[in-house]
Amino acid sequence: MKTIPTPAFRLRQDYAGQDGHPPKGGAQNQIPSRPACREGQGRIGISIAVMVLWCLAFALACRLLNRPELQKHAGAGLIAEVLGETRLEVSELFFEQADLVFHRGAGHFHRQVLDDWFTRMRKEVAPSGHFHLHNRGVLEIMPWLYFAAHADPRNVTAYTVAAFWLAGEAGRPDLAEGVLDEALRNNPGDYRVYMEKGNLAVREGKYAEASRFFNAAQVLFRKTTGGDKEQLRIDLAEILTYRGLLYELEGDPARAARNYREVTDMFPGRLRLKERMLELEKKLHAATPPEELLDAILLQRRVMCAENEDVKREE
Amino acid sequence: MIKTLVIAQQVWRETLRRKDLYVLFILLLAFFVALMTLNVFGLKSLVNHIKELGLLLVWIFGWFLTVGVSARQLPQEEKSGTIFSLLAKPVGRAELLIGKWLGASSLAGLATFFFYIILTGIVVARGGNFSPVLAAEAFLLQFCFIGVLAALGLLFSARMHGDAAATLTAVLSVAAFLLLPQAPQWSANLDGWQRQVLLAVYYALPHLEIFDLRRRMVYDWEALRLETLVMIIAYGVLMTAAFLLIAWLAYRNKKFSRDIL
Repeated sequence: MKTIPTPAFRLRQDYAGQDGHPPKGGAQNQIPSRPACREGQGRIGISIAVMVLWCLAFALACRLLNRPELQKHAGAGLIAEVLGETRLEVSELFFEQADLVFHRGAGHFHRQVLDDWFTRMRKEVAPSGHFHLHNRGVLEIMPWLYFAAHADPRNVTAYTVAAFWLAGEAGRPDLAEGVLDEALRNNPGDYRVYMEKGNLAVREGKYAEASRFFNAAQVLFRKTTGGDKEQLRIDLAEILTYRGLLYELEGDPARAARNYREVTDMFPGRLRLKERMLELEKKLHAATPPEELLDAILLQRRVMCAENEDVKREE
Repeated sequence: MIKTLVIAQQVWRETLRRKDLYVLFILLLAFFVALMTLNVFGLKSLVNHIKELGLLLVWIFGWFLTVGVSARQLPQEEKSGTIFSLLAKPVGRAELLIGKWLGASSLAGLATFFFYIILTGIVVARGGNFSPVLAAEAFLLQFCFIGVLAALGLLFSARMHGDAAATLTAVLSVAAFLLLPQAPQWSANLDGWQRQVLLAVYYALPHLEIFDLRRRMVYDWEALRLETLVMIIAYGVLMTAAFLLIAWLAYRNKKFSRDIL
């Protein structure tokens, strides 16, 4: 059987005698022949060339990574580096899993096309119905929100939802604040983080702090381009309403009324807000104290969050 | 019966010698340790994600083990030439197939049982628990699933190379598990022959998703009704028997040649 001799085999042959054994006759005979010397020199040349190329590639990589736009991604973490753009989908999947956990594993409602044995068995095996986790049980969604946020640090919704439930059902505003700080580090220009921080501050009764956050949210909102237009309108209305109530607390009913007018221009159906605006414009104060209204809004927001989830699932 | 058991015992010995199982156990433990050390927004004693990911891993590892063990049995015997000495003994090909299936499915089933025990230990250590009745039901159904999968692996390996059989079994079972439940929804948007073909595929392929009780276990739902449990087990037995029968039909007249070894 013929085999193709490898370079290493050829080298061994060069060092060996005709019969394949080392040649007898002392050190002089062990000096490699001329072709072997040339081959060795060639290898050294290749090695040097590889080293030089490697050094050049390393230098180029260092140079490129010094560019600010690439440094921005450097902090995205190992998951982001490994998954690339896929992380956006992965993050969404984790977020959906959080939703599933919130509904105790009962999946989305689908109209049954077939009513065969397999469909019936699937229905028996898989949990179905409409349930929510309550109290501290809600915390079980946190790992999935954590995974969603770490798969895509720009998934602001994952952070804000986590902060909302941590501050509410879990009674851990300190942890919620930590989550929002992390969100802010990863998304310094996103108004939603400031909006949630403002909500958290209102919940804790830190109204001055809340005003600062809502002001920042309002400024960043103006710079926001793209996104769901309807959601943007709803968010702006929320920022303006909160800020209006905080203006009332600060003793500035005129600015509060201006904010409410902006909201009612966007949503003419908000009659109670319209009444409040008129009251402020006429009497400079409203019958319901702003603190009471802030509490009511926070409570309503909690209910609406759960309801919105259900509406999205049924869609 | 004794011959079948001896063949099953050989499957066990061969698999334990290959050390695949130990690797899977170590991987599972490593994953659980990593999961337990995870700091989720500073919260402690969260357990549902461990249940969910743990059960997912138990399923994946069980799946991997079953396909790997079952699909390589017959091709390996043929490749090493031991099939000649095996069939020279008074062993029928049906007995050979059943012995191989028994060995592969019992080994994968027992390994899965140990995976469940490890997972339960981790969950209990984190302050959670599993409903014992539901856990027993889930394991029983997963064991049925393993039986069906092992029979499918043997069926493909009766006429294919080991790697090809393993790949085809894996692809078909994953597709059946993930895509088949969606088929009725897709068929609603089709009409004519396309709908008929899709529905034919839907009814022809094994419905492996009905053996999956993971969600019930994770979210502490009530146990499955006995009637449903029995029906699903009966379906599993039927599918296993059908696949083994087809495997026997494919294998009974197969000719082996020493030249190709």
